[in-house]
Formats: sequence, structure tokens, C-alpha cells
Amino acid sequence: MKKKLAIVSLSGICGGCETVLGVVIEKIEELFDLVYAPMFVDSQDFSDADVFIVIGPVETKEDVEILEKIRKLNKPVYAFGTCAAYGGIPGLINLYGLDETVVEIYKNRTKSGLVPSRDVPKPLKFVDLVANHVNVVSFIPGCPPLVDKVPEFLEAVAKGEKFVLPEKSVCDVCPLEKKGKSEITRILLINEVDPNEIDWNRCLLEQGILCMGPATRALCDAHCPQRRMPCFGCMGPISEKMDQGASALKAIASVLVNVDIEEIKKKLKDAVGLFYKFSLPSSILKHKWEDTK
Amino acid sequence: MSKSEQFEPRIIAFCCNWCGYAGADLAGASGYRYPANIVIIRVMCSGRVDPMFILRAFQFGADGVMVIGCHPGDCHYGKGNFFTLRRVKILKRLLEQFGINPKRLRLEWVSAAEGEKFARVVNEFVNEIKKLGPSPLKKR
Ligand code: SF4
Ligand code: FES
Repeated sequence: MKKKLAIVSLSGICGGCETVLGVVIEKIEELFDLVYAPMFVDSQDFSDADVFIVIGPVETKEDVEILEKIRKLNKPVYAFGTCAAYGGIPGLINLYGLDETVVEIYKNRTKSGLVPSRDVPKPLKFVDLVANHVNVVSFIPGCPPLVDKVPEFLEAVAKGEKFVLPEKSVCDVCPLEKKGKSEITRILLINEVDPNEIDWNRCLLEQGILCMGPATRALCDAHCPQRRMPCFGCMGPISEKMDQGASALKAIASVLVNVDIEEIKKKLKDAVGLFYKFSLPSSILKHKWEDTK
Repeated sequence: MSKSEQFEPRIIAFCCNWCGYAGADLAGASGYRYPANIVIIRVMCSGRVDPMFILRAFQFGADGVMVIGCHPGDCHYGKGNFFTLRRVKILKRLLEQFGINPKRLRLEWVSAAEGEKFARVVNEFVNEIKKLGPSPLKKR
């Protein structure tokens, strides 16, 4: 008998994860009975599902209620995508808080200046992780997860097993040549790079381009560095115990040992945005704090 | 004012074995006084201090964190303290973005012969943290 699967999307999603699931829909049909997935099937109720896949970060009271309902059903829950696992891009809201962000987006940046208040779910204070609300068996990170890794994940879900993730960094699988020694005296953000000046077969970090490879889990076969883009860190930290920003900071500061400190200060002004782009709510400090000035 | 006088901060100091820690030793041996708010953790080199150690210290309620290493160029292992310098500079910016006062993190160079300087910087730091008040991460 096939297990009954429910795919639940929370409010902060962009649609990327669902698109990936759409690509592998035949595999889903083969392994499961899809009972609830607003994107693919027409049904309103997930209460008879045997297993859950949750997508997206927890942002509103409604999300909390949904997760509460899932928890009461006492069925295995899997998280799909970096948002569900680590908070993802919406997690950057935590630098301001959701209330402030809603006001900024709807009031200050629209012509009408109206903040929607009726029939919309109330935002939480900060973006939260699915794992803080329900017990998550295991997860697959990625923004979105790679299509060729998803069938393996779905099989683990069907069997009720843990999906085993590699504890290696993107650098470990990155084919670009590493000389192991860096003499760089500059920092380049990717928008400042002159493509003709860079040796695209050599490690980008060793040439001064900020790359999150050393702090990011290798579930992607280093697609970006091979295509002339530095790693942005979308797979989250290398292991559960690590803080992505702290390990990136450690590795990158060591490479920059010959770079002038003033330049570092200038270029790394948005340190949180660079180092925690995908994992802020799961980091050690989590969100902004109120301190005396 | 009276409130900040009552407040006794908890401060973690990572001291490198060869200079900072030896400096602390000398400060004790030569009878310089420094406050008991500071908890010293000995590491082999200031370059051993992972940024995560510092973030964890704040997470578990430290009001301030000090990193004390050898003077630039004097590191026992060559370049350790140059790494530390850059890490701390970036970390300070990170803390600022998180809304935590970057003054709560301080890097100092103290050599093995500077017992007096050790006592002085610790005193200074404790007074500064007392003025800043408890860390916002502290569980109340
Ligand atoms: S730092 Fe970036 S470019 Fe260099 S090896 Fe690592 S992933 Fe590849
Ligand atoms: S040994 Fe003191 S800083 Fe490296």
C-alpha cells in the first residue's frame, strides 16, 4: 500500500520548491498517494495523510496553527528546501523583524501606503524554523533542492527513513584549481568583477572573490563556481552543529590576511547579508537584539 | 546609576597561551588587582578562537568577550593573530548588524611581560561593560 502524502506550503514560499516537486511528480505518483498539495491536487484536508513534506519558513500565526495541526496528527514530517530547514532568504527579515518589514514594504514603498489588515494572517515577530514547531525527521536543503537529488529524498520519505546528508563543504567537491596559498590584497564582490581579468579555472576565493564554498554543505556538486558564480551558501551550514556565518567568517578572514583592514571594513559592510543569506533564523544569534547604544 | 553599580557583568576572556595567559599570570604574581568578573579560557593561540566560540559565549549570556593575544608579529605560530585581527573586525560589524553593541567584543595585545597592561585593559573593559549594562541575550 502506498503511503498517503501531504505537501504543505507555509506562507513565505516563492514557488521554487513546488516547481522542483512538479518536475519529479511522476516519482511522487509512483511512491505515494498524493492526498493534499494545493499546487497539484484539489483537496482541502490533510488529516488522513500518513506522512508530511513541509515547505517554507514559519512567518505567520496561520503557519503556526497549521504546524500545530500537523503535530497533533503525530505523523512523520520532512522539511523540503532551505527555507523549511534553515529559514532561507525570507530569514533575512530577522534583521528588522516582520512588523517593521510589513510597514516598510506596504506603507513606505507603495503609492497607496495602506497596510493590509483585514483577512490576512498576523505576522510573527521573527521568522522561525519548522523544526521549532514540529519534530522533523530529516530534511533536504537547497534553494531549491537539486532535481537529481530529490528522488533519493522521496524514497527515504516513503521508507520513513532519515535522508543522509554529506558533511562536506562545497570546496571539497569544487573542481576549480586550488593552490592552497593566497596572496590576495583585495576583495571583490561579484558585481565588481571584470570577467576578463579572472582565471575561471582557479578557486575564486583565492583570487579575492567572496565565495561561501568553505562554509556550505556540498549537496550541489559545486554548480555555481563551475559557472562563473561564487557560492552563495544556499545549501546551509556543513553540519547541524555549525553556524554558517561563523565558519564563513573564519575561512574568509584567514584568506584575507594580507588585505588592508579598512578595505575589509568597507567591503564587508553587509556581513550578515553575505554570510547568513540563507540561514539567519537557524544561526546562533538568530535575529536582531535591542542593546544599549 | 545605582542600577549599573549593582550589575556585575560576566566576561569571557580567550587568552593565548604564550602571551595573554602568561601576562595574566604575571599580573597575578606581581600583585596587580583585576576584577573577578572575568573568566579566562586558555587557548594555544588567539588564532584558535573560532568566531563560533565568541558567538556561543554571547548566546549563553556573556556580557562581554575579550580576545587577548600576542602583539602583531610576535605570535608563537607566526600569523595567528593576523587572522584574529581580521576576524574580530568582521565580527564586530556582524554584532552591530545584529543590534548588539560591538563594544562588547574587544581584542587586546598583551605580551608575557605586560602584567600591568593586562590588569589595566581588564579593568577598563569591565568598567565599560558595566556602563553598557547586561547583554540583551541574557535570559532574565
Ligand atoms: S572557495 Fe568557492 S571557488 Fe574556491 S574551492 Fe571553494 S567553492 Fe570553489
Ligand atoms: S600565540 Fe599568541 S597570538 Fe598566536
